[in-house]
Formats: sequence, structure tokens, C-alpha cells
Amino acid sequence: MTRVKISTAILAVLLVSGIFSWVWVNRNCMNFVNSIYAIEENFVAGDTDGATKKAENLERDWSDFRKTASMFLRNDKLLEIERLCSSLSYLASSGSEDLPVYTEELRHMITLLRDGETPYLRSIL
Amino acid sequence: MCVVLIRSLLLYLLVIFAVRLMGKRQLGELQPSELVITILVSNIATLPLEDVDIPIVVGVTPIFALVCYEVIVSWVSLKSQKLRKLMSGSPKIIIKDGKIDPQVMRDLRFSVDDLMMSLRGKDIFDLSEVQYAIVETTGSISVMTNETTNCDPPQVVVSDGKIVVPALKNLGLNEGKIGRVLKKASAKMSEVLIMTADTEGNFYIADKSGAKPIIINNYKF
Repeated sequence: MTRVKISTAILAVLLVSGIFSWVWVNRNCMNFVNSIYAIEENFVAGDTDGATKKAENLERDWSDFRKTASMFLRNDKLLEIERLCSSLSYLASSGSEDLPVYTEELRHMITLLRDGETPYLRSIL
Repeated sequence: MCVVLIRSLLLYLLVIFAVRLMGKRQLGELQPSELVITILVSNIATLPLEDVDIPIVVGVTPIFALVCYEVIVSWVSLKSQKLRKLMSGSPKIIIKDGKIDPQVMRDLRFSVDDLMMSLRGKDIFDLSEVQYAIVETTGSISVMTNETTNCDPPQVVVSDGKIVVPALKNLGLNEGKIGRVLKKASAKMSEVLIMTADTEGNFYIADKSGAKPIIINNYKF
């Protein structure tokens, strides 16, 4: 009976951790996607300084997020997104026409990351 | 390199804990579900060892989840005969009263060579010595020879307070007769852990309190 109790407790902990990971990753990814939209808006409006500042904030926030998320998520996915984030501030400050391509790719990867942690049927299967 | 070393130690400790959590049942002959868990755990445990991009938490979560499911399902199986049968199957009598049952051999996909190999593993080289042989749910074979007895072995007629109907039919008994035997032994059906009976009228009754079992020999109805 002790083993059953320990097993039930472990399963409960795993379930709570799973739900926490899902909610936390989801919330943070939504915030990052919104930040990317904000960068694009500033860039399209010609406000390169605003876009650069937001890109730097995004890079910093992502780095903080990655340090904790690396305990729950595969590191290679997180590093790939970090690579894209680190390119954004340079592209924004230089007014490069490649910025929308990078932001689209970044948004797509963050959305995939979020979907991977959400228990949709397609994610499970 | 240092990271891999520490991860290996952590995984070793966690997997040992997981195997210990499964308990002694896992260390003996394996039921089908236990075999599946053992194979899965050993394969899953290698993934975070080989790939440092996989977090330890992500690596051990499926291990602990599988082990916990197994412990909980096996506990529920104690209460439910149907679940026990679904998860582990039931033993099949392949030789009864010295006669081989070809239908059971076909059902089990047990060839003659498999049968002879299993009997040789029990130091039996002559089929005529075999009175009774059962293929267990683990795939192993249990044998009763003519030297031990000439009648069929006892069967479980009451398990955890519940009547085992197929065994009653095999022995030509019914609930009424079982009730009379229990009355003689001053035992209640709900308090019986295990009760066996054979064709000679011998009964063995062990109750849930762990008291000394009651043995009734040559009971005449």
C-alpha cells in the first residue's frame, strides 16, 4: 500500500508539473509573439529606434525564459529561437529589409514550441 | 564530459528508485505488463544519457509515469479479477490427466518442440510421466508428474472472497456445496482470501486475517 501511495503522489507531482509547464510556456510564448508584432509595427512605421529597443527587450526576456525553460524543454529548440532573437536587434537598428522574414520565422518557431507543450490531440499523437 | 558523468549518476539513482518502487514482483518471473515496462524503462533511460539536450526531468518523467501506472494497475488488479485477466491473461492447461490438449497448443502457438523443450527444462524427458501441465501467464510451464499424485491438482474455487465459477464447473461443485464446506470450517465467504478444492474432496481455506489455514480432507457431500 505504501508503494501505491508513493506512486499516486509521484503521478500527482508529475501532473501538476505538466500543467504548470503547459500554462507557463503558453503564457510566455503568447507574450513573445505579441512583442514580435510590436517590433514589426514599429519597423513598418519607420521607428527603427523603437523596434531596436523592443528587439533588445525581447532578446533579454527570451534569455531569462530559456534559463528556466531548459529544465522542461529541449535545449536545441530553445537555442535556435535564441539565435533568431539575437539577430533581430541588429536587423532593426540597420533598417534591414530581412527583418520581416526573421520575425515571421521567429513567431512560427515560438508558436510551434507553444503548441508542442499544449496537450492538443495532434501534439499527443 | 563532467555534465554527462553527473547526469549518468542521477539517472542511475532515479532508475534504481523506479525499479525498487515497482517492488519484488518485478524481480521474479515477469508478467506481460511488467515485461513491457522493463523494456520501455531501459530504452527510455538511455535517451537523456546519450543526448544532453534532453532535460533530465523530461527524461525521467516517462519512466516514473510508467512505473507508477504499473504499480497502480497492479494494485487495482488485486481487487478486480477481470482486470487481472485482461492485463495478465490466465494460465492454460496444456496437459490434463496425462492427455495433451492440441486446441490449447494451437491457441498458445505452442509447438511440440516448445512443449518438449519446456518439459526438459523441468527435467522431464518422458511425456508419460506428466499428469498435469499448465502454461503460466509468464510463458513458463508448471508440471505435476505421476510420481506426486494420480489425481488433478487442487484448483482455486474462491479468490479474495469471490467464487471462481470456471473452477467450480471443472470440479463438479456449486456455490451451495462451497457454502456447506465453509460452514463446516466456520468461515464466511467474504473473509476467505483463498480456497482450493480438488476432485478427492480435499479443501484448503485461508482467510484474510492471516490465521492458520483450515484443511478439510475427504469431505463427502
